[in-house]
Amino acid sequence: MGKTLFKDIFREIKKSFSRFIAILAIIAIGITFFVGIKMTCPDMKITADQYFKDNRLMDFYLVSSVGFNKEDIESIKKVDGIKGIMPSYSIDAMIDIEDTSYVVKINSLPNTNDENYINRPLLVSGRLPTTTGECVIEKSNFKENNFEIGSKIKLTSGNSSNILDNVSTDEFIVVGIVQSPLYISKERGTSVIGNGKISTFMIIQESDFKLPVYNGIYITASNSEGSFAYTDEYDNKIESLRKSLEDVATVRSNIRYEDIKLEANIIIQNKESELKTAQANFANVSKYLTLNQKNDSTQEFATAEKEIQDAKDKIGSLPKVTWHVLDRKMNVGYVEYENAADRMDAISKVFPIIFVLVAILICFTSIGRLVDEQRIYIGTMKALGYRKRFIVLKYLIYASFASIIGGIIGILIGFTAFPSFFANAYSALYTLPKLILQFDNTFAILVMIAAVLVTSLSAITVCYETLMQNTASLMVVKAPKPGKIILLERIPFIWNRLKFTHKVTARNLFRYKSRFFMTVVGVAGCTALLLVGFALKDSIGTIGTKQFGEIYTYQMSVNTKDGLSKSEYENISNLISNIPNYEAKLNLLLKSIDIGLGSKESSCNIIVPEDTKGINDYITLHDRVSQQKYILSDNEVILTEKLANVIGAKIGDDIYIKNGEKDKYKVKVSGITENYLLHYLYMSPKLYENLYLIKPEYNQIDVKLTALEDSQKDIISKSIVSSKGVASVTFSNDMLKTFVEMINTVNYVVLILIVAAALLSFIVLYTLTNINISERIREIATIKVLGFYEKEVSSYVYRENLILTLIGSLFGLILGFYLAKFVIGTAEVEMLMFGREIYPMSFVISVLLTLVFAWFVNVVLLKKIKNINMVEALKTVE
Amino acid sequence: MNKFIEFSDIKKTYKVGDIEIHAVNGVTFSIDKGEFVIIAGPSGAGKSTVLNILGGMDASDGGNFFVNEKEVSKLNQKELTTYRRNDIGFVFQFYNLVQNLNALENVELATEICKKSFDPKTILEQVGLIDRLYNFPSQLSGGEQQRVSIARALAKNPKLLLCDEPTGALDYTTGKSILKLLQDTCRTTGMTVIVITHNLAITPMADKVIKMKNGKVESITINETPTPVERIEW
Ligand SMILES: Nc1ncnc2c1ncn2[C@@H]1O[C@H](COP(=O)(O)OP(=O)(O)OP(=O)(O)O)[C@@H](O)[C@H]1O
Ligand SMILES: [Mg+2]
Repeated sequence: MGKTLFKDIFREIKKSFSRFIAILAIIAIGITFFVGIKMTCPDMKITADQYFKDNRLMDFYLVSSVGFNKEDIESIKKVDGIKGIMPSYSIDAMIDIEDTSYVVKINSLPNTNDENYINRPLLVSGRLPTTTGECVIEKSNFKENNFEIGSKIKLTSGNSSNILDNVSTDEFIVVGIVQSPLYISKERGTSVIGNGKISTFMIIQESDFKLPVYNGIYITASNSEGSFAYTDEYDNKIESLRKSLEDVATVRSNIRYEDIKLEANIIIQNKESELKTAQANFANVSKYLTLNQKNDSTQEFATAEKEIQDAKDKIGSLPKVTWHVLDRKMNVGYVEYENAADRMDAISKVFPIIFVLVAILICFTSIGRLVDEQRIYIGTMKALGYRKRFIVLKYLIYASFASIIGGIIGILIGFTAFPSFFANAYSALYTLPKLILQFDNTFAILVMIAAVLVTSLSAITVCYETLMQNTASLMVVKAPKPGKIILLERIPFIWNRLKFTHKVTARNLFRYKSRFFMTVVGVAGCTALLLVGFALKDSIGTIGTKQFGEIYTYQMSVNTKDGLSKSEYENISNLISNIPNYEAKLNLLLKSIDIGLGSKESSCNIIVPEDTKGINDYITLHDRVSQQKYILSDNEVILTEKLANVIGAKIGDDIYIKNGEKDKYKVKVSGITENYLLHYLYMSPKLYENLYLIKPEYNQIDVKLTALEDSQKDIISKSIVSSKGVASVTFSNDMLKTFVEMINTVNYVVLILIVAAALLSFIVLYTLTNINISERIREIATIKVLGFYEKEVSSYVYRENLILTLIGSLFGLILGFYLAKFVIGTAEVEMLMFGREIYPMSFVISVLLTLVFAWFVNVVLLKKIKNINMVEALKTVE
Repeated sequence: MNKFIEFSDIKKTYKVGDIEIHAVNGVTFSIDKGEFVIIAGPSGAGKSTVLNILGGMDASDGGNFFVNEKEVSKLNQKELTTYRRNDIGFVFQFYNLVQNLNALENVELATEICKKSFDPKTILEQVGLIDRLYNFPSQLSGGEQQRVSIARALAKNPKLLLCDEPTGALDYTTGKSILKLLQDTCRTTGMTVIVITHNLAITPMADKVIKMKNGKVESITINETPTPVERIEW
């Protein structure tokens, strides 16, 4: 029995090959997309994790306002839970290439090779520096101007200081090309020299640095090894070490502060005693001096006294020594990469729903048609006394066979080609080793079982439906569905106005209800996928222009360093006013705080504008939906939208602002303003003073400039960055550019969704139209005999398709709208709010593309209609 | 004077594997305008094939033929469709009505595309179905369905009505009434009608009887005085 059964099945497959392929294809494609997108995120993360582990990416990074000395390091070494500790030097310098100069970050390479060797560069070619004057440099970023091994790099300091004060030589020879786990994105950070933007990094031997203190300390935790980067487990594990490090930071920063004060005091004391001696001497010798000499000396003493007094004042207002314990999340590349991976993961949540639905649909129709065609065979088998179970077996095997082959193909492509495609796409943005492709056995088996279940269950269902009929009625070919009066005919007003052919279409639409339903579902799925894609593009793609064009309406922003004196701040302020393109400026205080409502807390940045009325000219504070402008009042605050969502605050709510661990200030929320990037709380200077009991010390200047060109930007930023006390200069449209570049990855997602939608609609429409044509072959032959031209025949058949496609598309827009909302909600990261609107154009394009796909299927099937042989088709008995 | 239909040495060969089947093997005949013609012969003689070629549904692979002085055997696909559309009415053994359309609409399906067509309702009245206009095929008997099918063919006002065993699936009386309908149509409208039948008993009703065998014309008989079908018994 087995052999004949299989022979029979193979003959069946051959006979109905396109149908078999349709089942196989929908399974293969569904699984490819599902597995592929699902695996992209973990593959990306595991690749990064492996890279980080292999190259010992730090878990913590300590920075201090005064650097670190030997004692600092000794006391940190004593902390429990540290695996490796690497103090490091780092300076920014300039390199000239042709006519442009670039900022390069120079990091130190320690000479150990144990666990204390952290953030190890990955050698792409060449070797690491072994002696003085050698360096390795990164590959990318200088695009056209990549350095080659053997080339020489000449460094300058970029300011008035001498570079040779900091490093032992100003000329380095490139001995290797590297990548670094510290820099996986394009972002290299900001600098206070050059144009303020770091272009690339290089690494030299630690001994080539001549700095008195270390700039930073990299630390790895001993308990983080077993957990993967980007997991909560990792975040939790390193928490204990963070606590210990913060404790040391508090203690040591105080000690350092006292040390510095002490040193300064000693110097002052020395100076004072020097002065005293000098004055005593002067008293002794004054009688021998001329008047002029006397005057000179008195003058000198006065200056010296003043100097000493100034120094004393300075000690009084000596800025506190601050230590920061930073972790990987302060690394832009680390975070950006995670976001990119998570975005992929969010998309993977849409696929199963749509594809499972469509797979069931295709199996039902295809196998249903197969069973219909074989009624007589089934009847005969039944009459011959075969058990139902045996008869079903054939169709069950047929369906399972298609889904197993399809499933294997899908799994193979899904686990390999698909993630690689994305990794390739992302390689333009992230520098990482080759993607690690994981194969998840359990996942693969689960997916496979699901696929086989879906197909075989639909096969069994349709089979049993037929088998339940009595044998005699099975032996007769299924009667064509009789015509019926449809609802529309009862409305003569409409019906009588319809053209004849339209009436036919209307009848057919309602006649084949299951086909109606299936086409609508399939097409809806297609349109929904397209809409999700375009909606993602709309919501993510536009936040850049919204944030840096509509919300931030200033062109440039200058941040100053902490603890500037009034005159230093004035200096910077004057410098800005003298820029040729200068129009207006606004002083702001920016600092980070924690706020909360009830049990929910979030950290955010507080912004205090000097001029509460003028802030709307720089930062638009308004409601996203109504566009209603907000005015900053003296007793209430304004929150950004996402921040309000995070803590669950509404207008009128009383939230609290934390000051230190214990103090909580209560304030009322007067507005929730549109904002996409980071969290902000806006408050007036008066309120700030009331709460904190000090006047705000402004540390940011937002500047409006008249139209400026890129070349001017460089000049402006160079002139400001070089002045004392400036921390960074950023231009809104540079931010916009960076942002747009990062966001562009979403285009790949859109592309994938379009391809998926195209394939989906093709399979659905092809299968259904194909079956439709086979079922109505006599009808089509008849109208051909009547003398319908080819065009008329195809429009007779396709008009229904068009209408079904349109209806499906409309449903798809609704489905897509909600799916998009869901996906965007899931893909959103904490500090970012995606746009909330889907442009009308996206709806239009989704429908149009669906129509194009449908049209394509119709063109493919046109041949089938054309090739219907009238004589043959009409010869068979009805 | 040229005949309305000139069929000369028409051939049609089917290839099944290595075997060539000469379904129509050199058929020649001519038919006058307004004639009622019966084509008879045993099963497999090639009758349907001839009719299909004549109706422009099938192409011949040898010989040529003219209908109304137009060389149909030379027409391309599109011209053949125009020919079917304007000149030909077909009636099949199995009616071939569109299940999803009622009687009236089935007729309208044909008149929709013709310029000089008749009013569908009038035609259906003529075939005696005025009460069944809005019935679907599944609600009609075989004879009634065949009437709809004839009405559909007639409504196009064709020059040539081709019927392939129109009574094959019908009982005696119904069959007879259908044949009467065809004969009357021929007489009253002057339409040329060609009917294929197995039933040699009805040949007296035709103006011309073409007997076929093995893909060839066996004989052509002309009845000077055709018998009205009512008077034929079989
Ligand atoms: N598509 C085809 N392929 C192969 N042979 C065919 C095909 N169509 C017809 N034939 C053969 O051509 C011959 C003529 O067929 P045709 O249908 O014209 O006969 P007929 O006279 O109409 O017979 P009947 O009275 O049974 O309808 C037959 O022998 C038939 O087997
Ligand atoms: Mg025949």
